[in-house]
Amino acid sequence: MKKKNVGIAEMKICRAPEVLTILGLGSCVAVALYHERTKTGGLVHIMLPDGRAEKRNRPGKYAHIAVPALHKEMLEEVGRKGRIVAKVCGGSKMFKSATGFNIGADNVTAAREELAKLGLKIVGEDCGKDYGRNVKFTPENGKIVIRSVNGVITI
Amino acid sequence: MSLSDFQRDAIREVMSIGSGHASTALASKLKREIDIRIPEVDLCPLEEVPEKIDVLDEITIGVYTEIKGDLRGRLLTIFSQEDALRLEEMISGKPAQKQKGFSAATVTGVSDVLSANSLSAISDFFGMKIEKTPSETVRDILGALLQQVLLDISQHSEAVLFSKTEIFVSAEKFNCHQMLFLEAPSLDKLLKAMDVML
Repeated sequence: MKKKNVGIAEMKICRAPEVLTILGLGSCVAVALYHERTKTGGLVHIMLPDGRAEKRNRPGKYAHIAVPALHKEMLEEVGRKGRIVAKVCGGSKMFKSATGFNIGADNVTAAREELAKLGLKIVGEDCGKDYGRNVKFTPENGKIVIRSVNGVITI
Repeated sequence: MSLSDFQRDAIREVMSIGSGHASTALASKLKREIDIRIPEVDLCPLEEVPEKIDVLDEITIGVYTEIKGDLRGRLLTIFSQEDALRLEEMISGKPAQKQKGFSAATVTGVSDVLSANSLSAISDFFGMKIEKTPSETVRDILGALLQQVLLDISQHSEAVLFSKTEIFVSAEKFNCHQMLFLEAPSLDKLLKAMDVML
């Protein structure tokens, strides 16, 4: 089983039996797209809800760019046949005293809105709360296993 | 953005004065022989922080404080869970709970003394008034903790002062990292204050 890690602001696509991981997902949000027919999965590690496009090629930085970009790449990879569904996780807030806006919650809201615009259905979520997540997405079955200090859950 | 050799030496010196005071304070409080050393200080761009600590998926204890006054920013002190447990056990003399029950009281106490003394050394040395808010301790995956702090600070800052810190309790060694995230104008102010010392 080959693992590919998706770093901050990165986006990757793979087919079974490969798996995609994100280590230490905190306030960032991860959007996974899954095409069951071809057992293909795409994962993007989004930092912020929106912002100016940068010269540096980091399509995963902002939700409003990252989600459509991932969807486009998935379509190129799998074609038009069969349905693509989405799962969303992350956007936590571990330090209550961290000031300012709740960036985690804003990231989750932005990701959901972008998915809705593309007509992609969210079939699994583990968002918000006060713990970070290690994420493993397995396109073989479309499942995401999330490990945290509170244990293991699967969406 | 990087530190000149002089600035690096100056800040390490000041942080070492702070850790020296912290050693004395902890030694009298805990009735143990305590020595705290800062072998390495550097200014590191925010995006390089995750590379600097390569165990992003491990569980760590983070103690987080806000800094206000003449310098504004955040201070994050992190211990690996293993070192935090060893420290807790050594000082309390009781076996520590690895799971949820782990209170991290000792690590929080040590970090508070350490950060209070680091900040007071900076304020004495450069004639600045710095206050800190009560700290908050969280046990979580390191990458996730860093991510929240980085996103929290990234609107105001581009770099962090990263101090590798070694705590010796009766000759047994514990490692931690002190990360001082200063807002950009505060970092400029601190660097200028160092250069004036030349």
